[in-house]
Amino acid sequence: MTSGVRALLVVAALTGGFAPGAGAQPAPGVEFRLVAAGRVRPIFAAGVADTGIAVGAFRLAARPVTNAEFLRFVAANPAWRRTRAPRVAVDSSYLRHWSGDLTLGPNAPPAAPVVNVSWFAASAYAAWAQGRLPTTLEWELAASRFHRALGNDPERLNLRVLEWYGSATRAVLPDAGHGMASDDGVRDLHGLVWEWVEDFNAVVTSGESRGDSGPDAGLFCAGGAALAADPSNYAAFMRYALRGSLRGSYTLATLGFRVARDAEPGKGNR
Amino acid sequence: MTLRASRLRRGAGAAAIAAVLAAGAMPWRAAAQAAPLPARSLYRLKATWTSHTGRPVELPSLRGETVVLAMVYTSCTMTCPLITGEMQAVRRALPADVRPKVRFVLASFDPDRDSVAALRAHASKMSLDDRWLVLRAPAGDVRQLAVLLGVRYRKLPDGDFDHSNIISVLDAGGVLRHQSPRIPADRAALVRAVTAAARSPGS
Amino acid sequence: MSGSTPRPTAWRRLPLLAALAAVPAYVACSPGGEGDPLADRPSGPLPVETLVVASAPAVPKPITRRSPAKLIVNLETHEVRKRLADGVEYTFWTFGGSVPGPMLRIRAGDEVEFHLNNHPSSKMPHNIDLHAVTGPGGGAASSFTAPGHSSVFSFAALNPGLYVYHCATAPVGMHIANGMYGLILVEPKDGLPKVDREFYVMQSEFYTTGRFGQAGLQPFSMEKALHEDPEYVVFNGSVGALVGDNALKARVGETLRLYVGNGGPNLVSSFHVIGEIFDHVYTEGGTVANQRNVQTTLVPAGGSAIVDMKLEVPGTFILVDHSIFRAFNKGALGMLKVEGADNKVVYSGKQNDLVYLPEGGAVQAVPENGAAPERELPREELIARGKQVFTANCTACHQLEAQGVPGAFPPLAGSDFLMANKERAIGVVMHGLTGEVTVLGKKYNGVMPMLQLTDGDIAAVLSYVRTNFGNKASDIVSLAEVRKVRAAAAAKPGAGVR
Repeated sequence: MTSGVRALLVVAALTGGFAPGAGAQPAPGVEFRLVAAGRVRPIFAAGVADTGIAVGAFRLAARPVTNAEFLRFVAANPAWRRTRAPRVAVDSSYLRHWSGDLTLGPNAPPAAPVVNVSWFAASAYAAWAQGRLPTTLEWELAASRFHRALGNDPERLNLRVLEWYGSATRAVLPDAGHGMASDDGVRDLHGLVWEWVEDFNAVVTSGESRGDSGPDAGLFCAGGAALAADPSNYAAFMRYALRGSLRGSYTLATLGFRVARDAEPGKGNR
Repeated sequence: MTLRASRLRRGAGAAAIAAVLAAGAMPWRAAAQAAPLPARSLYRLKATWTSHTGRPVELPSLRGETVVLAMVYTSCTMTCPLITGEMQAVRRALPADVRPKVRFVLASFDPDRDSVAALRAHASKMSLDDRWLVLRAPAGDVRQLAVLLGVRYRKLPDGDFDHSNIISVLDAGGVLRHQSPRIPADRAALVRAVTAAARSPGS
Repeated sequence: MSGSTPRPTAWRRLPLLAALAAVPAYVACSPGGEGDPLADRPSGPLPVETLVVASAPAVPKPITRRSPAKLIVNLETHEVRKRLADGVEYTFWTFGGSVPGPMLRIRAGDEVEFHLNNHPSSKMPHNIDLHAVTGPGGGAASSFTAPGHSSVFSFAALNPGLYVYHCATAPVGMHIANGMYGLILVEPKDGLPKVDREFYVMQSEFYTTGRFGQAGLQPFSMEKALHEDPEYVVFNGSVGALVGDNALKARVGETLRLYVGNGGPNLVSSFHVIGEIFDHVYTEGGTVANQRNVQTTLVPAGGSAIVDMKLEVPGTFILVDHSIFRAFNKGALGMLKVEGADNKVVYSGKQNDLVYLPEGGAVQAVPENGAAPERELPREELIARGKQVFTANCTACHQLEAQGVPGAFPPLAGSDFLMANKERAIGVVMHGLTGEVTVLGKKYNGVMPMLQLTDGDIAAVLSYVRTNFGNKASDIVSLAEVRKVRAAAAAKPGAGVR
């Protein structure tokens, strides 16, 4: 097929069913950084070797998606506007910090990270932006690399992250793109917002409303620390706990996302 | 996502493009159709699954029937056979007028190993008749369905899965009416929910 | 926390046989030998009530119902920045916006429909583990709630007793260390013996990066928490929550009951009320008053005790953790003010006073090495530092407004004793004070400990106190003046005001 037809097909296939052919081009603003391959040792370590799990190289947006960028997305895809998005895909606080369907307002500075977005909405945006959400392992790999900024001291990183987790939420978030840069040049991985990952529901917890104890149930009581790879890694515990508490339609005032791409087409981690 | 990739590979002609556009593209189905889907219908998620008979199955094609749905993988030797067995027991326990109106669906976590042939072998082994559908889809669509249902899962290094043992009941409009979170399930509650859904169908 | 009873599984990784053998977690049982707790349930639906909770130190009213009810409980988890001590703030994670969370009071056999609502501004998911619940995780598994969302679960109160509830989201220690705990009382079916007055007191500790009293917003210190070395040990969530105007108040002749909880997360409390004896103790929060005449009762972390006492004499009774440095230096101090007529038979007041100085009893303080050399500070800076020193070291006895405690600790506010002699005041802070003093016409006879303040701290705190609380000194106390007093004392060992 011609490249033009292919482009049309891509847009139609990725923007969701509500506005086929809207034809909006994704925002070019964000830079993608190559995150080099590495190994991740998940906090749930059962069945995983001490050396962790190999994660291939991938590309990750240098900062989270902003309000202004998400506004362009909903402008091009009316079905994802605040009043129209399907209730099975977003809860009632979807984009609640915006003033209107197409108005950001005082609580949503254009350059601040977009929050109050569901996993489904974030996934649709990522597809529209010709990418995807990072996997948990990809995100954790990218977020563990601060040797340059913090002198190769994982304890310093842990403390820094805890400081954010332990502070109260700000009503209006600061702009994205100014946080500490990782060794790969990715910013704001810690200290700005939580971020959606593609497989957030891989945390096999007792989190579901009427659930029972699962293999990761230890994440929710003290006894389970015995199952964890590093019980003193409070920051990782908290990220996994948060992911475990989520459902795909949930939107949170502190939860945003960023876009990932495969390092080369067809060579992904998924 | 994988489905998109495969569609692009398959979509080598204008007809295919038209088909994708007409279908409203994925992953969300337009609300405005002949008879609109309920706002909370799971069938708004548009993905094409393949059944154990090799037939393409779009979830909205299940509209009009009460559906008992679970996610499993066919090489599972632990709770998945129990889930299937529970669904069979629920079916046996349904009132006679309700039983023919109910569809039983197993969706696989495991697109790598659950080929159509594997699904067919599983259906045969478990003696699943034509009221059953055993489905597979690319990994991205599996994830979307699981997220919609609140099913949690992860693939283990040995190829097996940790997963929720949730059995879901959908009404005729594809709206979630009941979920049994564990095995053994509260069978009486499942039977009551299926019966209620079948006798007062959603839109 | 969940027991070891096999139970249904929501997960795949369960051997087939174990899954088949699984039985429901609610096993018929007879807690406390009191018969089937659900025996008096009516055949029809239970009457529905919305549970009224109480903020510490208040306790919900005793239950007068003599039949079970279905109770609707709404509890919000909220992360809030509040005062931990004067000048010190902390980001608390709370149930209901305060530490401790509200006290819940229900009756054995009641059914509770629990709604846990996590405020949208929360960064963390939270849940609740009620030790009163029989079921996996005490409700933790079913109440795990993302920010801006709600969970509902139900339980039947099988076992009467006084129970701790707390958040059990990973990392559980941090959720508790940040303030997520409270008490739920499950009354026995026939209630507890009647008393005249009841209060809710909960001890807990806080691990801050800065040392005790260091001003500003203090982050959580994971390192100190791991070493179980708190900066603050407090009653009801902050230093001074139960002193001064916030003291517990009662009258002579009343019977008093304290529902005492310990949120921990680490320390066991040696709970003691100075000058009182507990007539009855329901050890560890059980429903049998199994001890009489107890001076100090242990309250485990994640546990409780109920203590009853008859108030025979008036006065201010001090609640402490008798691991006493926690009381003097970390904040574990509260007050019970009892008003009414004296009873000289029970307590005479002071009848005689003699100085006791054993041979060689003088203590030599060794100057600390390595501290930065101190310098004279500009007046404003000096007084600001003095305020911090005062808050951290003096308010436990002299109170927040320096008004003192009648009969126990003399006031510094408007104090003639303080203002009359600057050198004497320096000496008192430097060396402590034992023996009778007259302040504003009233005699006090107690002990002021030697506080181990640096000379700079002494200059600062005296400069602050002598220019505040109605004291109108025009001059400050300089470092040089303090050093002069120290030098004089060193030249004349045994002098000072000891």
